[in-house]
Amino acid sequence: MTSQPDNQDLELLSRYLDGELPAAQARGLETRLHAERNLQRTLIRLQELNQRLRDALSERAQVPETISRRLRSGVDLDKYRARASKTSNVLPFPGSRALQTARSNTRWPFAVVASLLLAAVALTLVVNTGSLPTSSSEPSLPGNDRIVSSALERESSGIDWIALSDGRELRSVLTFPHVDGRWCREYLLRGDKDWRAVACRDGERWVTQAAGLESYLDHVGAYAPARAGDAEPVAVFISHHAADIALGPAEEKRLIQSGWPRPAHRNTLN
Amino acid sequence: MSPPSYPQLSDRQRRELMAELQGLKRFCLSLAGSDADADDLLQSTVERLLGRGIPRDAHTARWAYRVCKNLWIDELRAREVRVRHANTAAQTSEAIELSPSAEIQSEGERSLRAVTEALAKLPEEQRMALTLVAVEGRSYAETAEILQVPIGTIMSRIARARKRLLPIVE
Repeated sequence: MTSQPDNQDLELLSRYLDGELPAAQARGLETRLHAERNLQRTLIRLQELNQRLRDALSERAQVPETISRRLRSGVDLDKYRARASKTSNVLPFPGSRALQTARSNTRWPFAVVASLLLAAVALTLVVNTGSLPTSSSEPSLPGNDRIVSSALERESSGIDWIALSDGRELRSVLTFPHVDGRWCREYLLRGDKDWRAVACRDGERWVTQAAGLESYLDHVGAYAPARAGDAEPVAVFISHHAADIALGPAEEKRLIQSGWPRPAHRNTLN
Repeated sequence: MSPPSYPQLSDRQRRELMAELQGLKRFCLSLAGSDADADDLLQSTVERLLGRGIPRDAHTARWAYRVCKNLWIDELRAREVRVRHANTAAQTSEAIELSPSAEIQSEGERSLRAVTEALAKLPEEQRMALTLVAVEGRSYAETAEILQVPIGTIMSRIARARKRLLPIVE
């Protein structure tokens, strides 16, 4: 029989598990976790509980087709789907990790839990920002290059396509603040294939976070949404990470001119 | 006074809702208990959002969860589904005891059932907070916004819920 932690410790562990404990308190708790076996065990049990909750509800999370059809009928996604490529359109790239972690950001202390089990290993904090930078092993992501980054840095959103120096074309769609304080931009990219993607500004570089093939981009300039059947990585990314609505043209122009200063704190609770 | 209406859902809002449907379904399951009642609640939520729209400056997903929660509390609570849900845990336990197939249930199935039953026994406000944070990965601030309570309340509800559920992972 495992002893129950007291209420104060349980609340601390709970907040830690959810990534809601301030850094100083988290460090204090980690020091205790090194030393107190019962506390470690409780953290692991809480992690296990999270996983079982997710499993129990996810197993039955199928959405009736009548409901999803009712919702998408207004945007006629069936039409777009019929025009879309028959092959899978969604890239496994940093965005997919971001989506995964956004879906389950309570999993981030898992590495901590694992490291606690290995006494010889120093405790390592894995912070889930939902926005991992691109490593050199992932160079071929659409739009994840200097040319696109440079265009996103200077071009305003609108309906015009910008010709890039390597023959591709880019159109910025909108700009929004990420919940972690970065600026992100949704954009369309025409090349050998057509992509819809979202990139966020890390340092002075725009790093693509999510993308889906847009095999049916209208070359007269109309914008069509990605395939719903592929989980719409860009829409999902925006849904999970946008701190606020998209900027208006004037606000975006000011941002570009001023070199993309970090957004002021916004109250996302309406 | 009639409830406020907003412009028809934009394509962006519809796409964002589409992306959130499974999460909404899980939330509905945690509230309603049975698959059928959860589907009813999800259907009502989608119809309400289509009928009354979402403010252009609102976060689509958070707004949808809030509508879902309010629908459950304000309108569906009085219905028979609530009575059924209140009895779900007891009925399920009886079914397990009476069912010959219970002996051959896998450990995994028993574990999922135990979690489902324990979740159903939680006070509603704890269940909602825990589902949004632990299952849907929402922050405390987002959850507070959806449930329209202070962040501190979310914090304590989640800790209390976990304390009650912890024995199932002994």
